[in-house]
Amino acid sequence: MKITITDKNKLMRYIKTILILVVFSFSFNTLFSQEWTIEDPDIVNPNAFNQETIDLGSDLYEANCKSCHGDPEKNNGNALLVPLPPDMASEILQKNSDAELFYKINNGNKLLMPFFSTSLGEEKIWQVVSFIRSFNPDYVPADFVEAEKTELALGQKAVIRIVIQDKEEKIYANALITEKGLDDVPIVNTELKFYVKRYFGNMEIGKAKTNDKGQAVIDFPINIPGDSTGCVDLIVMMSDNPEQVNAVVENAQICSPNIPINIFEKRVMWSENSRTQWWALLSYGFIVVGVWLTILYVVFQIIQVKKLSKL
Amino acid sequence: MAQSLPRDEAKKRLDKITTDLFRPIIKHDHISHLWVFILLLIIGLGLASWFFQIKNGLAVTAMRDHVSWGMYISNFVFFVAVSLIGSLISSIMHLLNIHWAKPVSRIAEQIAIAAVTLAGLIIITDMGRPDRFLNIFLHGRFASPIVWDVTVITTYMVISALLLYIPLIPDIALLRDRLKGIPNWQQKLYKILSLGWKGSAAQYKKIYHSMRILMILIIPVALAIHTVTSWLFAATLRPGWDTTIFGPYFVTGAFVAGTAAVIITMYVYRSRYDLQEYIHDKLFDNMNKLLVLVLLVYLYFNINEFFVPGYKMKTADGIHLRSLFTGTYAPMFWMVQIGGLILPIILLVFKPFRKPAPSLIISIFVLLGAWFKRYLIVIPTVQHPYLPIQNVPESFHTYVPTGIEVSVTLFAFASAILIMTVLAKLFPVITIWELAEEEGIDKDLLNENYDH
Repeated sequence: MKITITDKNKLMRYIKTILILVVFSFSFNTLFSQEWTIEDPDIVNPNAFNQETIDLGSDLYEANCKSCHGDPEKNNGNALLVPLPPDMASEILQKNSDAELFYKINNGNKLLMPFFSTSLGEEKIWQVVSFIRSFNPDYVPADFVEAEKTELALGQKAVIRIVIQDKEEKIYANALITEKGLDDVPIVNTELKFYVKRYFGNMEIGKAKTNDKGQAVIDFPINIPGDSTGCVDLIVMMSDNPEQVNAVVENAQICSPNIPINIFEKRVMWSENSRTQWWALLSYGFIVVGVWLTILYVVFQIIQVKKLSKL
Repeated sequence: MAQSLPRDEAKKRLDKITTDLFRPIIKHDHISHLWVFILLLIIGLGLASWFFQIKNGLAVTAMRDHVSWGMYISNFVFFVAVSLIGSLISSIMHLLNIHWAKPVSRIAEQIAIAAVTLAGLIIITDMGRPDRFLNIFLHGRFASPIVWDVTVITTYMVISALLLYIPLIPDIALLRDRLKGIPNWQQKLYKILSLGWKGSAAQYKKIYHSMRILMILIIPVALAIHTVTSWLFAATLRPGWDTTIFGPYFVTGAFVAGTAAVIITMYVYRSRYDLQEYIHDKLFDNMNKLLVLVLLVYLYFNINEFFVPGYKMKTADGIHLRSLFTGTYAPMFWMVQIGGLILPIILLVFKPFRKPAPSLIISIFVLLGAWFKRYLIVIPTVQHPYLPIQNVPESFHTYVPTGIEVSVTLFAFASAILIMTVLAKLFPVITIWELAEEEGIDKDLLNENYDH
C-alpha cells in the first residue's frame, strides 16, 4: 500500500493526538495519584516509640528520603517534582495511619514515590515511621499505655532534684517521693513547670511530663542573663500542685556565664549620642537651659517674697 | 476693674467671699468621705492590676507585636491634651486681659497639674519593666523625640505647679489668718506655704512679676509639650501619622478636651460647694463660647486631616482611612466626629444650651469624644503598617483592651480626680485676692487686723 503525502500527514496528526493524550493522561495520573490501597490496615509499629528508634529513623530518612521530601518542618521538598513531595510535619502526611505510612514507604506509588521494601526492609521502614511521627506532638503510639499518675499521699514529701547538663543545654528534673528508710519512688507522668526567677515575677521557660523514672527534661535558654555572678534561680512546680506545699526543689540555682550588663555601661544599637545632629543638640540645649534659668529666676523671686516677710 | 468700694461695704463683701470660698475646705460630710473612699477603691484596684501586670509581664494586656501602642498610650496623649488648658486659661486669657476668665484660672491650673502628673505616670504603666525608665536618663539620646517629651513634660509640670502656687500665696495667708478650727497639720501647712505673707506692696510686686514671667514662659512650653507628643507619632512613617499638621492638630484638640474638662469641673464645684454666685451662668455662657471657638478650630484641622488623604486614598492610607470611615472603627469614628465635635458646635451656638446643666452634658460628650479620639489616633494606625502583617497568630491582628488595661486606665482617671479633690479640699477653688481686686476691695483689707 502506497502512502500518499496527505495520508502521511494524517498519520502524523493521528500519532500526535495519541501522544498528547498519553502525556496528558500520564500527568493527570501524576497529579491525582493520591489513591492508595492499603493491604493490611491493622498492622502496628512493632518498635517502641522512643528516642532510640526515632534517631535510627532519622539517619535512614537523611539517606533515603530527604533528597525529595526535604527537611521536616521546613517545607523545602524538591520543587521540580509534581506533585511536590509533602513535608514530614505536614497535616496531609501526618493524617495517615501508621499502617498507611508503612504501606506507602514499602510499596511506593509506582510513579514518583519509589518503593523501599527491598532496600530498607520492614524493620527499618518502621523506624522511619517512628521518625516521621516525632514531628507530630499529638501522636499516640499504638502500644502506648498511659502510666498511672503518681498521687502524693497526705504527708508525703516530694523532692525535685535538678541536674543541669551544660553541654546539652538541658535541665533534667528528677521528681521523687522520699521517705526515711524506704527507697525513693519516682513521680511519674506528672507535668513539671519550669520558671526562672526574674526581678518582678517568674518567667516560664518550659514544661515537661516526667517519664517512668520520674525524669522531665527541658531545654535551658542559655542566653538568659543571671545576677551579678551569672546565676539564676530556677523554680520547678508540679502543675497540679502550684502551691508546692510538700515539694522541695534541690540544686535550684543555675550559674551560667551570662552576667547582666551594668546599667551604667553604654549599650547602643546603632545610634550614639555623639552622633546627634549638632543643630538638634544646640536647639535642645538652648531651649532647656533658657527655660530652666527662667524657672530658677522665678523660684528666686519666691525666695525674695519670703525674705520680704521678715522686714 | 470695678470702682473702689467704700471701706465698710468692702469689709462685709470680703467676709462673705471668704466664708463662701472657705466652705469647701471646712466641709467634711459623708458625701466627701464616700467620694474619696470610692476614688481610693478604684485606685487600689488599679494598682493591684498594675502590680499583676508587672509580675506577669505585658502579656496580660492585649498588646502584641504589631499593636504595641494601645490604650495606655491613648491615655497618655489624652492626659497631656487635657493639661494644656492650664496655659490657655490662666496664661493666654490673662495676658489678653480677658477678665471673665480669671475665676476659672485656678480650676484650669488644678486640671493641668492633675493631668500632667498622670501623663507622666501612665507612660510608666506602659512599660513591662518600669525600672528601665531610668535608662532614659542614663542612656537617653538627644536626637530622640522621647527624650524631648520627657524633658518638656517635666518642665511643664514644674511651671504649672509654680503657676498654681504663686497666685495661691496671698490666699494661703488668708487661710492661715482666718480659718479656725482646722487640724494642726493643716495650720502648719498653711503657715509654711504662705511664706510669712504680709501683703506688702513689694511682695505683691514680686508675685505679679513672677506670674507674668511664668504666663509668658508657659505658652511656648505648653505648645511644645503637645507638639513633641504629636512628633512621637508624626516622626514615624505610618499611614495616619505621617502628616505635617499633627502638631497644631494635637494642640487644638487639646484645647477642646481641656475646655470641656474645665466646664465639667466648674459645674461640680458650683453645685457641690454652692458657689453659684462666683461660678455664675454668665461664666458658663462665656466658657461655652470659648468651647465653640476651639471646637471650630479643631473641626477645621479635622477636615484637613481627613479630607486631603481621603481625596487621594493612597494605598496604605486608603486601607487605614477605610477602616475609620466604613470599616471596623467606623462606629467609634463617627460617634467621635459627630457626637464630640459637630453636634456640640451646633448645639452650643444656641443660648439655652450654654446654661450650666445642658453644657455639662455636652462637655461630658466632648471629653469622652476626646478620649476616644486619642484611641482612634493610636490604635488603627498601628494595625495598618505599610508592610502587611503576615505570618502572625490571629490574635496579633486585632486589639481589644483587657480588663487589666481598663482597670489601670480607671486608676489613672481616679488618681487625677483625687489630686483635684485634695487640691479643692486644701485651697480655695477661686483666687480670692484676684476676685477682691476685680470687685474693688482694697488690698490692705485682706491682711488687716491679723497679727502674725
